[in-house]
Amino acid sequence: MSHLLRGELIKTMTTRTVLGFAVGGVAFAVLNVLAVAVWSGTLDEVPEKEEALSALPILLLLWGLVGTAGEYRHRTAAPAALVGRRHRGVVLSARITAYALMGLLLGTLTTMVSVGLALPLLRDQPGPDLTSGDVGAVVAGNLVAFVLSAILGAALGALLRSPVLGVVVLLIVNFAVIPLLSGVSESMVNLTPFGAAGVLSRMTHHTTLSVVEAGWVLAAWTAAVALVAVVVERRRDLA
Amino acid sequence: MTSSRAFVGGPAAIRVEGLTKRYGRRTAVDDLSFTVGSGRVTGFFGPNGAGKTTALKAVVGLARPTAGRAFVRGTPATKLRSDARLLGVYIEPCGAHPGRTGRAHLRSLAALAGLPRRRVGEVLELVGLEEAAQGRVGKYSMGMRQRLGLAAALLGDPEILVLDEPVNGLDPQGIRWLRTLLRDRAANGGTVLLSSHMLGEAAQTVDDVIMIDRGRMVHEGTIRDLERSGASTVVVRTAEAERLSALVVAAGGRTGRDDGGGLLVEGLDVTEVARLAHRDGLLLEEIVQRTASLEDAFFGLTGGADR
Repeated sequence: MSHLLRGELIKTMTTRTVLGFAVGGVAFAVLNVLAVAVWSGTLDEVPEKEEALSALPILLLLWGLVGTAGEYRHRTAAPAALVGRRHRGVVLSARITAYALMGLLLGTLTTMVSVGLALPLLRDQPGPDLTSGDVGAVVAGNLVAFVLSAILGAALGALLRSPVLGVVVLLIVNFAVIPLLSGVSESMVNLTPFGAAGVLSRMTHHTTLSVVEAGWVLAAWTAAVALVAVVVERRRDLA
Repeated sequence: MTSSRAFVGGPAAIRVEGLTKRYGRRTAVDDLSFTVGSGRVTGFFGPNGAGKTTALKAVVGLARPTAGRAFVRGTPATKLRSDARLLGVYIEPCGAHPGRTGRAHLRSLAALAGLPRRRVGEVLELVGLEEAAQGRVGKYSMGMRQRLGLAAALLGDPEILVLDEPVNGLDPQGIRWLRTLLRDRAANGGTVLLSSHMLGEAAQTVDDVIMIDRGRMVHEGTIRDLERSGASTVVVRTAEAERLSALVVAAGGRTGRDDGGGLLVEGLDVTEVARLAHRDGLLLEEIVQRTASLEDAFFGLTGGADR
């Protein structure tokens, strides 16, 4: 398995996609800090201040999806399966693990930028200051959300096998399904991967779901989709 | 189907039994059975859309057969534990991300295969891509991508090579290099199964021939048998064509005339015709054996020239 992971890590690190998403993730984090800590006015509650530290983990869902779906688009999945010395499901598991590790790296970079930029700006805000425990919990929640989002995206990409289709599906879910669901029940939105990731990263607060519960919801989605992707990978043809 | 094979190679490296692959209502490969012998270069021919690539994908385990089975060294392809040391595969396109460098592509495959990193440099040198290795695959010419795909197939120095249209895009120098490489591998006990539509070129490389048309087998045998089966003709120019024609017919051959007025003889080889002429003291101005090409045999078997 270690040789598979090494090979898949080389693949994730040797295209410009990862660099693009790293730059995009940092840019979103900076924008979020400025939008929440500077432009949104007074922040006098701890959850509001925590929101300023939040990054955008769901971006890694898109990265994972585009990356693994691209393996099928560019036909790079077949050569990997032909040399891996393990069945295709194990090769895909290694690929997903590589995305999880790179997701952790990207998440750490983005969260460090968020925290480093936001904490000095939040000192001028009224109300209780964030304790080191609060900051640690936000960082941990974000990192978990980053890693799970990367895994979920990679698994979805392997299932859909088309970056364009994947992006269209994500847009439909984000801009049509979730607004419809929120019209029915806000608590239902929190049970979607998008909603759970938002709670886990503190992007949304004052919800019916606790941070830990959100973590379990996102983990359950991730595990289910990854399992289906691995099982399906063993059965489908590779182009 | 025609078959002239008393199987020539060593033990079967690849065996295909009743392979059928359907996509919805379309049958890409229909009840295909053949054997690829060890230490042989076997050509896999057929018109465009004959099902060659689909069959090769099933042989290497990338596509699941609808019916039938393929075996590599006796192991069903569907249960084959992929190993770059056993099976090297190149199926178009080259399977490299356009945004990745050629070297990075091979490095990732070497790592996935558990091969030492030095193999990357070795195969890059072997295929003549060292200088271009740091460039992104998206900038490669078709021939360079072809060489990269071949480098990937050769990474594990495999016992068996399965190559889909390997000469596409290669320049004449590259084609000659590939021919030498494949012949050397076969001479050293390696096995090669290659598909190609460049029949004349492939004829110089392969020992055995498998021809398919519309997913079905139309011929399996050695290249020599196929060329022989293609009704070779002796062309003779002589002032006494009528006398020679009578001698040929008496000896069991058939005769006719070519466009230039030469006598065409079928059913006897050049030595037999020359001996008949010599026996009766006929003066021959020219005598040539015209061997049917692989293309002739191919079109004869598939009716391809008329399509």
